[in-house]
Amino acid sequence: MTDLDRQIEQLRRCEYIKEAEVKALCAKAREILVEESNVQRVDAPVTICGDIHGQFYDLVELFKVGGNCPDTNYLFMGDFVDRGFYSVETFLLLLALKVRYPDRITLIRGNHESRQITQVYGFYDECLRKYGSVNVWRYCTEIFDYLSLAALIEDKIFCVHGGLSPSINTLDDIRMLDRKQEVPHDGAMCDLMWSDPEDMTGWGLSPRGAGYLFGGDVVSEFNHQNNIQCIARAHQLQMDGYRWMFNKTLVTVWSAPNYCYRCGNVAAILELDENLHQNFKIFEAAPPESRGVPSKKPAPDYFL
Amino acid sequence: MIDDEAPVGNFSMSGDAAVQNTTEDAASSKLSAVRMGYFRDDYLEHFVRRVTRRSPLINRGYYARVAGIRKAIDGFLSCIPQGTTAQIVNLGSGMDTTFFYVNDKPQSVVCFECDFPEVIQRKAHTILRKEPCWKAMARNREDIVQVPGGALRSEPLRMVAADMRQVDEFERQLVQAGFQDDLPTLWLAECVLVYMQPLHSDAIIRWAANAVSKAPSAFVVYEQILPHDAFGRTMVRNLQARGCPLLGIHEYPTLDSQRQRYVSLGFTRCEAADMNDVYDLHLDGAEIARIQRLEIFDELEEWRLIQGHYFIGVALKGSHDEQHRGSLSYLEPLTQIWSTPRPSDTEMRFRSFGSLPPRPAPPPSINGIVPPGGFLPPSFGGPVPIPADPPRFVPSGGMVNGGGGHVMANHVPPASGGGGGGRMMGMAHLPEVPVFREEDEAEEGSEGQGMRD
Ligand SMILES: [Mn+2]
Repeated sequence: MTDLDRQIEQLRRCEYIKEAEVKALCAKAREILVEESNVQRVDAPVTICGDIHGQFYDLVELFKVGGNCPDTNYLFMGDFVDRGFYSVETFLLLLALKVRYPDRITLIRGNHESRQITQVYGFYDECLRKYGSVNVWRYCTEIFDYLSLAALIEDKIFCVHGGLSPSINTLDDIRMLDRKQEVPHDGAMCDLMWSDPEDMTGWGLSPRGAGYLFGGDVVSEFNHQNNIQCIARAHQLQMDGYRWMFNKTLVTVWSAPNYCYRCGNVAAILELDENLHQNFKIFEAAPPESRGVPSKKPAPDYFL
Repeated sequence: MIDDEAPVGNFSMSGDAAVQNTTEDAASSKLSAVRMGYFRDDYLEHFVRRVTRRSPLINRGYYARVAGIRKAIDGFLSCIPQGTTAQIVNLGSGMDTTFFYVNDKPQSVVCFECDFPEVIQRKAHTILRKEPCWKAMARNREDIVQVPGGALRSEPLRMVAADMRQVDEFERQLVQAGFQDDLPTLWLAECVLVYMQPLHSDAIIRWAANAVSKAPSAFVVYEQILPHDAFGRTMVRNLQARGCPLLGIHEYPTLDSQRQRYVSLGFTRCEAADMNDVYDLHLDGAEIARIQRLEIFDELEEWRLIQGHYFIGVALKGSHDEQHRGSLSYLEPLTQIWSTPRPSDTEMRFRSFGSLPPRPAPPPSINGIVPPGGFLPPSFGGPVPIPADPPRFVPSGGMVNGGGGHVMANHVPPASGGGGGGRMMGMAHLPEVPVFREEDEAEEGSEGQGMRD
């Protein structure tokens, strides 16, 4: 058994690996990711997944429902870290799988794969708590800069974490971006990770403060121009796990059940067969008894 | 923090104790919001044992709660005729600082703070040790009376240590503390009644509705609703696991049932709005615009969910005579508290527009907190080096395709018909705030910034 296989075994048990191992893993991952396109090509069949947000035991559920990697070909649309209690284990497991099976799993960047956001929403603190230093956070956030911005399945399904940008008309516009940087506060790269679809026409300001709202006409124009059928994206909690919009030209996939241990939602993954036929699989949060040692991090926050 | 003492599933703490501890969580979360610049409260830090940095959603939610409650209090006080003293009775006051907020106003107000003896004692202990706190109560500390049971009494603040579920005994103590039935009175119950059996909370409301016979009165309540949808079911389960079950939520599960409740228990009418409406329609628009720039906010869907499960109710009645005539007397303007939406602004209302508006002006400084233009400061415990200028990356291999040559990444021309260049609307830069310390097991010994009892 190689070191990598052992690390994967360990991470599958939700045990985090040594700092030196993280460093080496990130170095190997970088070699692979640097070769990937901003718009990474992906073959069908593939299973599309939305936000995970450090909910490790629910990621284990996801693999139970969707099949193991490499048996199933996966595409994760970002937001691996923050909010949940196990961002370290979640991201490192996905990264280790990427290194082990580079052609069977694709990871694209979400708005939480960012130095700035992870300092607000938990990943930074978790690294500090688990490793006693910020080195692991630094290795991981450096790798974030290498993640692809989007994926294109069989030239027909465009996958991105957030959505479209007024600065982008064509896939080539995305391909020309220099992605090796922290997620900027504005501009095309920021919008891809922050924007949301909205029932409206044209563009609107996003209440998130970054990215834009975009309407059905924008999607229709983009899909037509780039000869794609459908946009698959994540980024917004869906109580039923997924949501079609704009006459099935855009779908939101959400893969964090009972988000933040508080929202009570179910999660979904979207399976595409070789003919791009769609099948959603819905799953619920892992039962408490499968979570092993009860987390010391206690109750979710409310206003008390 | 409550969490250190009562992990999930630990039921060794009695229900009362767990509920009493919710005030610590509330105070600590409010302080987190204060330190981030959401609202001003100069007294809160004295009542918080340990400073914890809360998520933007929690900060914003406490802001909405405090701003909503203050709107109700200010609205009430603005109705009171000049020269008339008002009473505010804070039910389950915990570590709440409403007294100090009201006391800093020129108006004549007497506050009553009512809670379990353990909570009152702890608060009294803190007030006596902190000069700014006792100075708010009396010019000289010797002028503050400490009654048996530990409660403090002075002209503007009267503490009452009692189990409010024993209404008769509670009333006796309140009257003994100087409560009058002929002064306009505001009852305040923030996340209190919902933790009681409806039998008890109804008795308190019914009693309050009749306690002020010779002046108009208002009952302001903030608590949870909607236990039946997916979010609500999870909320009920999580708070049960925390040892503070929402005992009253099923009896009054909706806004409508809450409105009816106050009317059927003796008030003339009740205005109620959920916190989404309060925030979107009724809080000050300029303030909302300001606080939305304080922090990055990526919790919009959750925000809608959680805010939809809380409400503020304002129940009203005139004096007994007035009530019989159907009159709310000078409290009449309060019936409009949740009726007139503020002018809509595009930022809040998800409006669509053909072309994007220009970049908004930078947020103004307020309360001495100047929103910085720079990057997020290291969040906790020392500097995190974030290279302002990331090492240049020479595109090669797969990183940049389509064209081959070196591409200037950040200067993509705006697409035709698109919105144009950069814009950072409300994208928050965190303000310079005192360093927080995240609480966790690894840092158990670390010093918090607040007081330690
Ligand atoms: Mn996201």
